[in-house]
Amino acid sequence: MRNSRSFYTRYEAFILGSLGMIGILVLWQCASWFEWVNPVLMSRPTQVALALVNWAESGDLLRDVWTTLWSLTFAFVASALIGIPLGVAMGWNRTTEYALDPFIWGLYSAPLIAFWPLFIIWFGIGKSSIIALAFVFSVVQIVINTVEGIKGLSPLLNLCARSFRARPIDLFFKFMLPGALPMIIAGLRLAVGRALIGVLVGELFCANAGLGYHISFYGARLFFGDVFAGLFLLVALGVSATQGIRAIETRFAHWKP
Amino acid sequence: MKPTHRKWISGLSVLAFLAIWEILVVTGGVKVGDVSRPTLVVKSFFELTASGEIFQNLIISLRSFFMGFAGALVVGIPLGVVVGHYRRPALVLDPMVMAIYTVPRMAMLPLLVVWFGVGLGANAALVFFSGLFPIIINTSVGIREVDQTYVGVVRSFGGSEWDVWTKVLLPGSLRQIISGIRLGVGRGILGMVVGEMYTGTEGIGGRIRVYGNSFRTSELIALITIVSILSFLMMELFQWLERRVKGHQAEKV
Repeated sequence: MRNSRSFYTRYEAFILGSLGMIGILVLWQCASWFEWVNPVLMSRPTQVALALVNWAESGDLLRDVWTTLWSLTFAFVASALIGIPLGVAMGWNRTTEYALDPFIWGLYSAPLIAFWPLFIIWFGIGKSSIIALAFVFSVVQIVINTVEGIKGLSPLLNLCARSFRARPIDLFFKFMLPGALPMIIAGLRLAVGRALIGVLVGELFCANAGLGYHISFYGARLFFGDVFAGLFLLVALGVSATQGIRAIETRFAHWKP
Repeated sequence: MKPTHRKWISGLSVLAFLAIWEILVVTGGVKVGDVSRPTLVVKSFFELTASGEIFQNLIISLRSFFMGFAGALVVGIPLGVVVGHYRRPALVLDPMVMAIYTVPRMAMLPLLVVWFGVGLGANAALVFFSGLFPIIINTSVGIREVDQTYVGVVRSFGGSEWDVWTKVLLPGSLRQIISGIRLGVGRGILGMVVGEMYTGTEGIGGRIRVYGNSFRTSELIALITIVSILSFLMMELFQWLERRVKGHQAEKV
């Protein structure tokens, strides 16, 4: 008795959490089964699982995940390559910061999706517009976090490094980058989620492959089992991308207090 | 560097950006159909205002925004309080909240359109779901971060549960709640625009889509600017509230 009790207290969070999840799934299944709600409009967990299996067997699943992942990676890597140096420049030099600040904060508070029609005009319908949207979504976050990280560095350490005649390149690689790394990686983690939203919305609006396309396509045909299957994969993709970056974070940024 | 420099440099750089944009287009370096130019944008802004098109659509947009956001407040704050204050319900709800939180809200649009109908229903629902989660999460964090000593003090001086809530927990978490609302407003406006762009031709988002589809860049950019300013002002408002509450708290301590 004592034993089982300590087992419960140790895993209480896990047990209660899974109970909640299972409860909601059972409720959903029953609601659909006994037609408390319209089963066509709500689908049910078993149907979602079936849709997932069918999707995988048709071979479209790999294609869709691959398309979304490719756009996401492209946009995310590009935004990191451009955002981090830009952020460093802004954090390092006040004039640059003041000059670029209004644009960055403007983009940060603007509902960026409104730019979508412009991207269509500039890049045409297709992957380049989707990547551009995801890029804008993610780059703003990366710049903001990098600036904060650089500005948070101790001026004393900077002075110390300089008085030992550190060259700018040393300053950059040995002082600024490692010092700001935790903030930068935190920015990357937020940015990957934003990039995913960008890719998704682009695909919802126009695409011929990808998770967003899958959701939009089946949503319009009222196959909600397939829609939920798409949502499920989307969440899996988002969570694994975020967790991947978190793994990098613990690997590189663990020395930070 | 003096703080006034900041305004000068920022202002100058924005002006320079607008000037370069205008010049590039006028000299023919860039096609006017692609990017329009600032003077044309201002002109179409006045045209849109004069014809009343802006106000008409702004009202449509804001109606779905406030409906959805009021719902998010009414559901989000109590739920956040429960998750923040009571341990067991928190443990039951936590994975569920997190699971739904990780679903990009925009992806729910095809579902919401069918459940709540094209137009006001789907847009308000999208605003609701976009705004809900930052509010729940920040409220629960705010409640959790209140120093439990104060709760103990109120209790040991014979304070009732009501006193604990009104004198400690709610004032103590107010700043976090407001900051959750601020985040929620930003996402809610994003949801509002996406919903309108996806489902129709009404509202600011709908107009953005219409003008985008017909390549009328000047009107398009004017509308984008209006939505951005709207979102910026709303977030500024809550940031200001947040600072006021913070100052208020600092005074008391």
